[in-house]
Amino acid sequence: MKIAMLPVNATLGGAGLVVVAAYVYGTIQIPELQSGDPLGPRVFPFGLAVLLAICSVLLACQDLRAVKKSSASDKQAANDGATDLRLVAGIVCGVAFYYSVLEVVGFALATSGFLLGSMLYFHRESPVTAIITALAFGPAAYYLFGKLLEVQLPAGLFGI
Amino acid sequence: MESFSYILAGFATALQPVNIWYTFIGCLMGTVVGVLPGLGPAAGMALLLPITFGMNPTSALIMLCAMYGGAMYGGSTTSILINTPGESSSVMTMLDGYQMAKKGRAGAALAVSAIGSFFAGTVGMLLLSLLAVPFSQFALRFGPAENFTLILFAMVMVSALTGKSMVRGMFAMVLGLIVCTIGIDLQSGMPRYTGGIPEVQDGISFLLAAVGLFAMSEVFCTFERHMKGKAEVLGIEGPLWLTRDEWKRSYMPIIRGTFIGFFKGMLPGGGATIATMIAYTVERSISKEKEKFGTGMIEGVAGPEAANNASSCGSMVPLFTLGLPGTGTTAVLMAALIMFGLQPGPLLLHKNPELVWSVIDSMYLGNLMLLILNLPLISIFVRILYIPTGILLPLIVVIATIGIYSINNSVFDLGVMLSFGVLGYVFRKVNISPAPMVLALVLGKPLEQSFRQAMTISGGHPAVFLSSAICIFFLGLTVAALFVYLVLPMLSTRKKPTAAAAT
Repeated sequence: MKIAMLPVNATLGGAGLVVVAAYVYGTIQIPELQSGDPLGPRVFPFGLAVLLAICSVLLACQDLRAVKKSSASDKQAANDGATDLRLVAGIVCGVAFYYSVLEVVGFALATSGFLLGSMLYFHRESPVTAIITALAFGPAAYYLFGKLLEVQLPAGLFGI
Repeated sequence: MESFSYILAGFATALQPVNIWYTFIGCLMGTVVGVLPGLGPAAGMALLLPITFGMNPTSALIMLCAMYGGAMYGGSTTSILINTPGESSSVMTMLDGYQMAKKGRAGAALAVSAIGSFFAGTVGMLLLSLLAVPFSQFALRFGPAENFTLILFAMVMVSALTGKSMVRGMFAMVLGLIVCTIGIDLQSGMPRYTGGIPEVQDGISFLLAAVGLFAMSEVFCTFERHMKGKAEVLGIEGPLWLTRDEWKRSYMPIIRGTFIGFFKGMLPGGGATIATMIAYTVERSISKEKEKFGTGMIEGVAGPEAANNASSCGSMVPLFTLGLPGTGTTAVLMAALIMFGLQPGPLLLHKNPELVWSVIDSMYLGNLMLLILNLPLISIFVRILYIPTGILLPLIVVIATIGIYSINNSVFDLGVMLSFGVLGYVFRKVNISPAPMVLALVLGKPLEQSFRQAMTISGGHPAVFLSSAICIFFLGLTVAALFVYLVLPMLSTRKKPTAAAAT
């Protein structure tokens, strides 16, 4: 699945306006108390909302002015973006899964599992190296950071 | 005289065996980070920061500064040998450095890069030592209104000079400021945008954002590049030294690059990248063989490399004296200072002179270590380039995980860091530099506090921001920067279609 060439500025502008709407709603919810502060906790955020709205509109206007004419840098960005979205989504999901099981199964096991999966996928030319590195690094890092450097790392259900 | 005694005391601390050891570790790790393509000094320092938690602040800052210097040195290696810059400030070195390597002069390119960096680093440190005290004394005059206008100016400049478009830079910066407003409001005690989640009552930690935006996003991008194929690594051919002719052609570009880099580094925005661009442009414009630039001219390596390192020294002047980071990397360094309970700014030099001077003095020593690491030992570091990316990248994810988890023992923090990683990845894909956002995350709270303090003092009259010459000066510069970088480009793009239609 390749990323289609989207009007980048307009998309950013649209996303910015959605953030502005949510932010303004959140700002209205802030309770205000009488204090020595003449501005209160809402004024600065309102100012930021106005600034973001201006930036979003300016970004959107840039695309409206030049719908067909995209800058060289945007083309470069688009080329960079023309990659497999599934790959990045897969990596993010893999890392998220690693984090979700980290405290359950413990650092050493979760790390070795994560490394094994990712190294076998990204270092296919030498699976033996990938397996050895992945299986050795988890327990070694747990011992080095958790035991020697006394960094708190989750031991997990199995206590390792 | 008092300052001189502090400088000497700083050397005494920096030369303690434990601090020499941390300087060495910092230089070593910085060089490794610099050599690794894609992982720049900001990402490397952000990764290392959580690991320094239990350390003595002086030793930790000495190590981080040594790492900064090391990354600036190491970045040129990948530019010269694999035509891939270690960080954005090494792009200009790549133009002629890689061509020199292709012609069998990689040794000379690496040598001039190391020698130029050493000279620039030493002179830069000397200038930093000379300017730090006068700058901090001047900054003592700053009140909340002055601080607000100064931070505003820095933010506008960083938005303007990092990335391709000022509007995108400002977009990222305002997003960063918005993230900064999450948590308990310091003045009224009211929770803002916390959604009842206890983990965000204290706000979003800068570290989570920095590691996510700089390191994780870079890992995602490098995974992508890795799947497209591996860059060829050129071997180090030729002796690691310069010929007489190369010396003659290099020394003036090194001197010019040093001064350009240092003074550009002192200004917020763009950091070393713009300094190297200016140095390269200057060398090209004054050369009698302009057309040969880009084909392997040693001047095109010497000038930008000196500017690159001098700029990192220059950027320390506003950081230590005004509490103002001008780049993403110095923003990480400022976060480190805050993390250790130190408030960067004019009072830092008065309240903690031993610490500041120890850090500055350790950089002289670090510079010497880096020359040794990057000249006779460079062939060892080049081996890092042969580590398979498919092995290295998952390990970086694990190291980031250890660092972030160790802060609060919280999986929530890991999730926040991952979210910033995804945001950083999107930013990179749409050509937005993460630096303005990171800077906003560091300076957002001081910006709001100084704004509200100034308004409280004035009883709510905005005229307080025009009440002193310093305020007017910085506001004037801010307006001028907005005009030059935002309004003028808009006007010119509007005129172009009209002119085209007329012809």
